[in-house]
Amino acid sequence: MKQPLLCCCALFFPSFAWAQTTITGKITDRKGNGLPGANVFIAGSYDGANTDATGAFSFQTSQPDTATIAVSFVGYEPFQQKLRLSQPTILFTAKLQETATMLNTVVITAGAFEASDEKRQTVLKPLDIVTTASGGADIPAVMQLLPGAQRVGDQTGLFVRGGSASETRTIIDGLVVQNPFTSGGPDVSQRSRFSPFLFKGTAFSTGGYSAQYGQALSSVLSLNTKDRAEDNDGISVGLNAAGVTLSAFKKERITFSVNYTNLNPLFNVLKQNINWIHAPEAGGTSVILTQPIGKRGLLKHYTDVSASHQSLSFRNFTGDFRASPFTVRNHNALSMTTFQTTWDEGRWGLQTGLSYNYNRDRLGIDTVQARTQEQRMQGRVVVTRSLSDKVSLLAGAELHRYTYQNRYGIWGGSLTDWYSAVFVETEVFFTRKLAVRAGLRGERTSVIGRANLSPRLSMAYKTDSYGQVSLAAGQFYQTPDQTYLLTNPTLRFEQANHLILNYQRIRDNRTFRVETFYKDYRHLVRENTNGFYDPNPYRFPTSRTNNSGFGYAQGFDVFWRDKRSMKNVDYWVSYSFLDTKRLFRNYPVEAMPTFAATHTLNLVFKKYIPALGINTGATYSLASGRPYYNPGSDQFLSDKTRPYSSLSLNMSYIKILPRKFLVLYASVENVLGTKNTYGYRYTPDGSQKFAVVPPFYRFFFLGAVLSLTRKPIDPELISNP
Amino acid sequence: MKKTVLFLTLALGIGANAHAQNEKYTKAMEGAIATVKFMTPTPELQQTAGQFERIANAETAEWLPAYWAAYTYALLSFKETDAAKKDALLDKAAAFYRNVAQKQPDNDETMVLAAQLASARLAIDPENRWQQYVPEFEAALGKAKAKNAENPRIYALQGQSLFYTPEQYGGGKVVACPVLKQAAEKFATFKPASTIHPSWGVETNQYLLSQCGQ
Repeated sequence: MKQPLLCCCALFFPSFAWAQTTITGKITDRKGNGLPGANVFIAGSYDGANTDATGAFSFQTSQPDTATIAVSFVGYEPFQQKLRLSQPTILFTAKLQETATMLNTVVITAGAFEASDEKRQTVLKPLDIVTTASGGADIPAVMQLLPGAQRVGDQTGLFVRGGSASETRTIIDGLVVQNPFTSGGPDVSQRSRFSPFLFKGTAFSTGGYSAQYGQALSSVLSLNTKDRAEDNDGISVGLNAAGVTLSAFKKERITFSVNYTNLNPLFNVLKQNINWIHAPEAGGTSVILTQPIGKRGLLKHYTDVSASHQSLSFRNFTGDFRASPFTVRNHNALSMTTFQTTWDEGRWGLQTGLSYNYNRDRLGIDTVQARTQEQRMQGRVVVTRSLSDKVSLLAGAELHRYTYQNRYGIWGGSLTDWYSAVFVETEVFFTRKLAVRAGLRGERTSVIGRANLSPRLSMAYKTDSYGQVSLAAGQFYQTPDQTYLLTNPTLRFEQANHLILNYQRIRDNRTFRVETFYKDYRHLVRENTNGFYDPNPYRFPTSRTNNSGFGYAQGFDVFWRDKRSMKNVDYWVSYSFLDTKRLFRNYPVEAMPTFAATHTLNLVFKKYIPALGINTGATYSLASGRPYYNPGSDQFLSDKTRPYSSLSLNMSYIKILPRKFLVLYASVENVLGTKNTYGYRYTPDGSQKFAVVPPFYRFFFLGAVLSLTRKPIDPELISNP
Repeated sequence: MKKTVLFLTLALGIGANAHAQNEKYTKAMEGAIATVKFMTPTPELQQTAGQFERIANAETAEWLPAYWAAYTYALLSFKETDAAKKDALLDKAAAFYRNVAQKQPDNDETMVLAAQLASARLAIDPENRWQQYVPEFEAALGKAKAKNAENPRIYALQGQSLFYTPEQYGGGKVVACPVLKQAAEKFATFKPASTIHPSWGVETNQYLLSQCGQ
């Protein structure tokens, strides 16, 4: 009878148990370095301790026989093991595996700049788009201040690493935007059509991009729209020197905007270099709808319709060079619907989209009437599957129908292209330090009846906690420019091969990045002009064409951003070196193109003054001269302009009142009034030349936004507690 | 007779044991809670977080150990200087919060905890995170207020947020101090349900309030 009683006692009175076991040991990381502060304990009891500064611990437990010992530590995977408590003292050591986080897991970065809130380690944040001086709250204009992009003030678009503007694709939520920039007159770089406030993320790739994207020889600007509208019901009125914008929001669902722009009043005040017949005037409306479907599904719709008109007096490219009118009337519509969802706890993902683009430009160039009309319909499906936390797969397909009509005086034509693409990509983390992304894209386009297959590869290796090396390589194809296809449907794809090596180090709000690249252009379209060069960018190419063009671009760039060293100050420095030559279009010989500059430097500075509630910024840009065409010169495009330089300032003030929020902003472009020249244009006999200059040597802009909402809003600048 | 003695011994033993267990839990919790202060040195606070974690692990039916563990990790994140480590600590806090939210979904303290965690996330990078965490913070406090308007921590957090918001954004002492004062009044009458129920916030509130006069 005594024996069972004793057993019972042992069972019910654990505190009476005789055996106290001491567990002692060390907790380390994979390399054997002690981890201070790790929690070591017997699961299901209070017995345990935190490790000391060397990772060592010791505690006593009264658990009998066997117990489960558990280790937990912030940033590391939890660890559990069964332990036999057979001796008075037990030695226990454990090596913990780091949890995969943004900080310790490598990210493939070669060629890419991202602005995103969602990812913690990005070089840019969405807010940068609107707070950067000389950026004018225009996404592509801010991207021009990053390394890799060239500053080409007299032509529209993003010029990346020796590539022409047509080599950059703008993509919204995976769907191609046919005409991302507004239409304008000659020698004036145009703004993009999209407000930066529409987007939650921007990824600017200067090469070596994913197999998800095609039809871009140089660069992809990929924008992701916000997943929901403003948090409040409300209206907002924006008034600036150029026009007015009215917006209305329905909480998290609908944003509706109308805008009207007329630059006439501003142009009457500012001294300028353009003789306007009709200052730019534009109007448009847009609507954004977001609708969650089920728990994880999201349906988004975006429609934007706009019209614009402008007319200026312009010295013609040909003839007697007298001033003659140049008129542009543009109609543009973009409508896109996307649906995305995930299932099986995010292991499967689906993104689909449908869009329609319409663009019509009516040009009057002196006595010549020109008209282009483009329409693009597209559908896209992408399925993602993560097989484990180490391997993920992506597969997708696109189908586009594109029509193009062009009339230039007596010339012209039209074409229809069915473009289809399929792509697969896999990302594999061999370790947390080494990741490889391999992809393959196949495309077919009906207008030239050809197909291509382009492999893409990028990889990254983490050298330490903050630094990493990335490498990217790939083949990129693009269907020749539409105007060439009208006269020659037997052309083949133009091709570029990229090789990029990158080192990036991000630590405590400081970013250092250096990248070197080589780009090899093949099969560029060339016109057989018998050595005659016509610099008119609006000319209709009537000569015979073939794919005998080629070229290269190589160089390096450096980027440094520091938000830490000075209080409330954020600055970045970007420098690009570019060496490029190409033989393409109507170039008679291989030459450095007019849109390339050897050296480009940007200094961007931002400061927040808390006492006044003012954000100020300054941007200084310096670029070496670009080539221009001088018919009297022995060598083609051997003349270069003087270096370009510009200092721009901006300032914004935000005042929040209950249910109101007011933003005042002002900016000055080229505050020093530097007389930059973009190039020269010669009379056909070469006797007279005219400088191509910016529309303004100095430009002032100011505006205000007033938002009225149902509840007070807290904007971005709540200071650190 | 022998049997009766045995039975009684066992019955009393179990009862005493259960009581001892309860007392052990309360004692352990009280001991740990006493150190949960912003001024406590980080290693010691880490020990405390570890202790809460151990208790939570053993007392799976209780919500308070996980509650305090989450709050302690939020404190640790405020003390940490490295942004990535701050987020890692809050990831840990979030795991405990989920545990609390599961057990006490309708408790106003759960909602206050959610607000506290949102404000800790916000503090890491306010410029870029306000769009996500400010609405989260406000929604959580709003829900808590609807549940129990007498909870002083609602006003303490609200006042603290306003205190550190610049004037031109609708913050500053002028608007913050009345809210902090309101919090102090609620603290004065607030009685936690037990010694181990949520009771934090008085010191920080007093500290901020002391700066109001200046």
